[in-house]
Amino acid sequence: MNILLAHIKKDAITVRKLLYVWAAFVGIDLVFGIATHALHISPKELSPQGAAWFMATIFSLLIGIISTLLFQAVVLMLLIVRIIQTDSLIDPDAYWRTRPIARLNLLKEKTLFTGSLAIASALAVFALGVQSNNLDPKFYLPLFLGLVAFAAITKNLSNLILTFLGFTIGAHILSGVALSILRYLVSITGTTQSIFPIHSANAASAGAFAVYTLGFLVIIAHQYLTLQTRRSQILLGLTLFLAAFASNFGCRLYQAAIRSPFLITTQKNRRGSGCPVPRRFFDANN
Amino acid sequence: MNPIIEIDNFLYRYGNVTAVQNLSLQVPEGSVYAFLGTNGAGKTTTIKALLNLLGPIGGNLKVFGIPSSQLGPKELAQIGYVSESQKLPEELTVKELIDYSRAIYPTWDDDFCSRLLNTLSLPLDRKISQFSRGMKIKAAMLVSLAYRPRLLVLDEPFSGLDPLVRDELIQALIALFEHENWTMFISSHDIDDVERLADWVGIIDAGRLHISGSLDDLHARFKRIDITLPDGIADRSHLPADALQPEIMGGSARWIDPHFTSEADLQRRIAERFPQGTRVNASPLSLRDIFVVTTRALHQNNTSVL
Repeated sequence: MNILLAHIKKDAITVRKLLYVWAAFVGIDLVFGIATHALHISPKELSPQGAAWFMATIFSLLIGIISTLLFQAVVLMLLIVRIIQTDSLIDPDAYWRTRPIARLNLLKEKTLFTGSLAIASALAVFALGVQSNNLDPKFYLPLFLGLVAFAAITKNLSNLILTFLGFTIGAHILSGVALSILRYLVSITGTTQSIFPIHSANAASAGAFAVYTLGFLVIIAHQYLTLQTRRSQILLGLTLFLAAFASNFGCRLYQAAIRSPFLITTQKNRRGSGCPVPRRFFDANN
Repeated sequence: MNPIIEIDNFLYRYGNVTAVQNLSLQVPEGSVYAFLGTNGAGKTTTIKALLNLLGPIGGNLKVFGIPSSQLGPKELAQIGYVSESQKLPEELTVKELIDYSRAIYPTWDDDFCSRLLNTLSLPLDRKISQFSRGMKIKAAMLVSLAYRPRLLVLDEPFSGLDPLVRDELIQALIALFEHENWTMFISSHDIDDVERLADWVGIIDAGRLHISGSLDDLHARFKRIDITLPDGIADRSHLPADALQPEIMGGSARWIDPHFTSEADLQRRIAERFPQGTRVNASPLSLRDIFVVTTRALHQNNTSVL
């Protein structure tokens, strides 16, 4: 435990400037949180001048909250990347490599530190009372794990950005190619409905979430415990490819089926996802 | 005496380029082994493989009898490592670095650390990022010595340092090694500095270890020979075949003998070549001269030096 705390202290000192900025944003979140709760006044109780002031305040607060959230997210991401990369896993000249530091302990420390920061940020945002119907909280887990995974296999921030762009674009191109092949096969065999159930758009989304979460977890553990960066990169490529494939699977297959004269027409589904749906499904539900 | 380091047939390649091949050596416990070579000879690659920072492509490397690939925290707690390329946690002050190191080394010795701080004249409250190169090496030395490691591995520690800092570091190391039964493996091309520390020497060139032995043996083996002949010397063909860097000046000649055994043997060999009688003098070579002679001969594909 002492060693873990010593690591955290060392990392905290290393990233102290960013940590101060992050803490300031968390503080601002709390101030905004208090301010929004204080402004729970019904506009009916206000005079016309008061209502104008109220609206202006609400508008300013909204701008402030959005800016704070945006900058806080950026600072948190920079902080996580810096904490991971300060004990580089790919640089043989990194200080920790020749010190009596078990890789598992390093993984525990980084998880504890970055996880605490991410949770504290989430709680601060929660204190703001910000809610969005479009943002599922589970979305943040793969985002956090992905950031850690990319940071673990890169040397610095610019390297991370390039790797992210390269891998993401590459994975989407490859998944596009794979889906095109599948689309062709589906269109000539006319087997869309049998291999692709009606609600598979949601299933594909859940599948992508599972692939991202599991894949990133495996990459992080693999990189920390083996330091085999090449293999971690292959795992990352595979994860991104599978997740891209899974997330596009439903939509693309529907689109593919459009070209099949047997099954599909171009209509938007009820859930408003924009994916075209099979004619039979559309007819049956309308 | 048990070897602390054992390297057997080590091979490493960077892509298609062979960096080190067929390298075998042993470092006895309690010795100071100077691993000498020109830039790019393979010193750093060997050290990195030894500490499991690079995986060997072939051969076996062991530290404390344990394969390098299996070195864990327990073994690393007994190894001090200072390298010119090592990246210290630069945002920390010396005090913070000491606090951090104290937590990770079970054998950390605070009294010894204080003595080292005095010897190395390091300010406690300054960030490492604000230090010069020499000060950074001193800080690295401090946190690599204060837990009294069994093995100290130094990779080009004096490279790029001014003579004053270099001398301070060497004096500190000499003082330490007088009292501690440590083993040191030091790579350098600053031969004069290393000679003050080393008792064992290995010379590596183009990825091959050509000479490995005690410094005393090397001093005994390599001699500068000066002869004076009353009738003068006609040409180099009179000199021994393995004579290195021969110089003929009128009635005198000098060369380096890489296989000197004894004065009597030298007198006999000279007498065979110059029966008219001559005055012979054999003087020892510095480690620097031995290194230069050996490396130059190897670069000229002259293996008679080995």
